Amino acid sequence: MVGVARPLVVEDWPGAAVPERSERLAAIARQHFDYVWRLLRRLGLSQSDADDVTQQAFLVASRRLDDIRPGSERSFLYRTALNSAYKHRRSHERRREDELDELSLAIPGDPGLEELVDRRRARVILDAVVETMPMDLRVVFVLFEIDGLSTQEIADVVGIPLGTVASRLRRGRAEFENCVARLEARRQHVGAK
Amino acid sequence: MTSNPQRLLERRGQGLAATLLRAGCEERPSSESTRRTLIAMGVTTIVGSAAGEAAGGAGAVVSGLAGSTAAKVGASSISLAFAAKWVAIGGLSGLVAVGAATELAGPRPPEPSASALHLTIPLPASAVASERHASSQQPQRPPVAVDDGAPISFPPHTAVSPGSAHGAAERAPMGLEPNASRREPMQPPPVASPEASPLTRDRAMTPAAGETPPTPAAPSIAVPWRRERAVAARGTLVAAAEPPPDGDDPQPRVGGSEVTLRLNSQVVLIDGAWAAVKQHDAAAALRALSGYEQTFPSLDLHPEVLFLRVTAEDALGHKLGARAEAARIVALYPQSVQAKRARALLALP
Repeated sequence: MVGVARPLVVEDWPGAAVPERSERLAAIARQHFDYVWRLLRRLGLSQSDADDVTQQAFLVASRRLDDIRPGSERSFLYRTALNSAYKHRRSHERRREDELDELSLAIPGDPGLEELVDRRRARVILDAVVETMPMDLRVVFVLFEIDGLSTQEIADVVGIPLGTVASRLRRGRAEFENCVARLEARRQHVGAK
Repeated sequence: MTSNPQRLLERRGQGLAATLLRAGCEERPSSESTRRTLIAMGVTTIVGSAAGEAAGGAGAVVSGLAGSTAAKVGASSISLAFAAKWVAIGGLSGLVAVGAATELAGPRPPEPSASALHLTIPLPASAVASERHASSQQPQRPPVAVDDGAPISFPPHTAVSPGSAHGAAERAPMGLEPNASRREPMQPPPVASPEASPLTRDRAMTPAAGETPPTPAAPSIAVPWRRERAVAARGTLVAAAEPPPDGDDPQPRVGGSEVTLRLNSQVVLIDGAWAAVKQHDAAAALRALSGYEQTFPSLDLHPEVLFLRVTAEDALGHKLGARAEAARIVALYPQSVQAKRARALLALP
């Protein structure tokens, strides 16, 4: 007979939230769910992967709710989500720059900004751009530029000194701007043909 | 102290860079994703905006108390602007649930009528054995209406062989012993105080200890559910219902309220079963969940139900049953959060 690896306990059930905790959990989810999910998307996870990882992060938060100090929920969630994103990252190669060029060429016709008003396409390009960055730069860049965290908050979440945050942000921005400039040049070149 | 630099989006209101960043800021997860996470966390009140209406449906069947409690929780967790509304819903659901419980617990056996809906919850044979064991120690009471239940029929996309409701390990696709007789016999569930367990308090969905079903093979209990009350409860639904979830859904979708009703019924069912597990009445939880696939063929919360079955089987000491259910999770929902836990249970990578 095959034995069970370890006994299940009541707390194993993901929905083991008692009513008193539900209120706090609901508040945390209302406040942070979108941000965590968006962070994961920008870190290269597909929508369904972002759904799953976000859910995992919130389930972890729900299990460890008593350990999370009020006010530090966001840091906890971001840290948990980032760990998952790093794991996910290890199993996915960074997008190559030639892929990005192909992607930019896929924008048809005159590359006016009207084309990019199509937000879905813009997001695809954004993802392609940030995916060219190394992960450490990308995390800081996304947290600052898209999620709107302050440098101090990023330092707390990522667990790095403030100076390192500033340095990574500077490098991330430089990479982003270079990439965007290259994209624009490429599209203008193709549009002129 | 390092001051925050100006963000690119603020610095460049226009241009390709700003357009890309703005697009990134505007992306949002689907409401379905948010809702599922909240359900998984046990924060069911977001969906349940109408725990009240659910109490009129499966809520009344599973636990009227759960319905009213959920409504109360809903009132406190959703914004204050809606608090009064939810309190009203909670009150109404409580009335509906209490009314249903009173009617079902009364001495008059339920009569089938055109105005009553019948929610059939088939019971596993093991559960019946357990009930019989308990009934041998307690005074007999007149049985509620019982009819022969059909075996659970799994939806077409279910990859595992159907098997019986809870017994046969032949459902397990992971090489578990198919010999059902090798499973440990189910122990009689511990007696919980009526106040402690919503499931034991409301015996509408399961036979009481003395209510021994006459047939040994997967019987089911037909629970009448007054259509008038269902309609009245449904009237409390939020007008703007959530969009229906993706996936196979053999049920016709009449409108958002139908979907919300269906989801809420499932949430209340799960909440009730979970409460039973927590009150050490895992057998009651299994009975409550045994008809899930038939009652809710859309299987919206199937992974959650399967995992709850794992927990309940394990609590009863049915290691093989727990492993079989865990294997089903892995086979059917390999990407789910529950699958991760199930793999841990099965010691799979």
